[in-house]
Amino acid sequence: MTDRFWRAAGTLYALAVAGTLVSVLGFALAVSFNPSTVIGLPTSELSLRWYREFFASPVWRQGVGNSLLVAALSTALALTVGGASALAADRASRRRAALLEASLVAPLLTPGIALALGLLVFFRWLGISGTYWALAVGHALISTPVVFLVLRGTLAGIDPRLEEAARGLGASPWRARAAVTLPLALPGVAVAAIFAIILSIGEVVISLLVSTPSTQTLSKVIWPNLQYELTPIVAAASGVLLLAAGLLIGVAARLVRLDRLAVVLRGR
Amino acid sequence: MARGGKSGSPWGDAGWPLWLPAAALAAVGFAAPLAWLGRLSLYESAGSGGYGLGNAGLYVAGTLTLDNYRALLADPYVWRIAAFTVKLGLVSALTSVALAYPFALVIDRARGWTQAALLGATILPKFVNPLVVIAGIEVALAQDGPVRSLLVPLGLVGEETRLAHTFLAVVVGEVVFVLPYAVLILVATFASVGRSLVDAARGLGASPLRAFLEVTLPLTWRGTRAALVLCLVFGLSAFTAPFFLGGPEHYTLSVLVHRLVLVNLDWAAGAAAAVEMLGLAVLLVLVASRLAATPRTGDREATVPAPAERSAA
Repeated sequence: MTDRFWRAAGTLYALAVAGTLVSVLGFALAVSFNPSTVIGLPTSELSLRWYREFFASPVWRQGVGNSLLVAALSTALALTVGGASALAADRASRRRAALLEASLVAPLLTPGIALALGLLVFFRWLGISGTYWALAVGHALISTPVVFLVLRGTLAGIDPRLEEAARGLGASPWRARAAVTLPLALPGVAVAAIFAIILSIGEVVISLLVSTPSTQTLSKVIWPNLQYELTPIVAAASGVLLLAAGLLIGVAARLVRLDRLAVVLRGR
Repeated sequence: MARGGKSGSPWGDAGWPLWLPAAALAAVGFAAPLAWLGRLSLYESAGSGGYGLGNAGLYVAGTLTLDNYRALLADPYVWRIAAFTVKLGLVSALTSVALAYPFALVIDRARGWTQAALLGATILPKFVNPLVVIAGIEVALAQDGPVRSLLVPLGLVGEETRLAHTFLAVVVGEVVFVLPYAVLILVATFASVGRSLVDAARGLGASPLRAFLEVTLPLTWRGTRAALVLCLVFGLSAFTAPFFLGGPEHYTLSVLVHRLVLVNLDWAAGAAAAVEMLGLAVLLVLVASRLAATPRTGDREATVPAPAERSAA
């Protein structure tokens, strides 16, 4: 009796929370199909008008292009740093591994606006502020800790005896790693890359401060459009971003079980 | 997992070169920017009158002063913003953990498809650009939006009550942003605690509520504490939610830094505010972890209730 009551209450509550979280995204998507210039949920007809305007606009198209380019560069950086660090942490002493993890996670816990302003000032001093690589470094700060955690989890799941067997058969340490560990880690690497792309596309504050009008990412193009009055073309941009996220999650879900990764990503 | 030391070198068997990429990123992307931020905060402020034109604006190069900090600390407006930042951080962190705890408990008890769907719904907003989330909340809370049209007929919201650009709207936004972290930490906590002790308590006659209060809650206190501190860390740097969903009375320190730098073009003052914000965040998190660490139920042994007390509810 009480058991069933608690279970029903719990299920109802969970559905309410999950429903609220998802419906927020649903509202952003729904308004994009409203042909009216007044923002609101579509009532009579659905249209792709704002998507056509979105893709017809050079500013928005450039924003998409810049976001993709910066995502690619920052993902390459994050995989390099996160991958090397995961390999290092996997074989290092516990204390040093913890130190490495702390140094990678620190930017994630720093207030975004302070980090972004610091990057802006330092990059200006270096003379690279506003470049694609400057943005890529900024985004890699956010994605590297996640890539690191995913790859560490992946490496921990690989039987070390396989690599030892390769070593025993005469392979050099790097040969054994490339021929045995890397193929086994490949799904994890792909998922880490997808997370890095998602985080880069979703990054707001660093993009806002560091990018220039010619390198501005989608986040920065959206920014002024949200500030006073929500404009319908922003809804279309939201739709495009939701579609991108959905596609990437779909690919990731085919590679590994996402609920397993949730536990890997729990942070500390 | 613990393969450390096997190779004899504390750096691992590939040696120190594998540590270079992380060191480089930490230096170029973190240590140097924060150092430059500190340096900028010590330049003489050029004031906010010049809007970056001519000689005015940004900062006065070649100077060294603590005036920016003095000005900030003497400004009651900045103190009000700091107080609001702390309030928003606390309210959103406590709300998130309070909402996340039972939610994570249900996820832990659920199985298969239901569990995957609930976890998916939790993580989904974190996979989408936060500005999309902001747009969705703006639509939801608009004057003719779905939330008001649902709640006004029920009498839960007054005919004239505005939801957009209120403290409530800011908290909703911030909770949507930090709730997923709390849920993920708590799901992992429940998973690590396991069911066997709860089952034992139930088997000995404890009601579900009693088993929860005496077994589950004490065992998950540490994880709850971790979730709270993490939510507070993110809540204190709240930026986009108060910026878009609030009004001028909902400025946080992040919004202040943004305004000083991008609206007033007074970089030195902005940098000083950012440094203050970093200090405040570190301070509050230290206090929070201290307070949360005081022995409460967590260090008490989980007592198993007597059968006589069975199902008092």
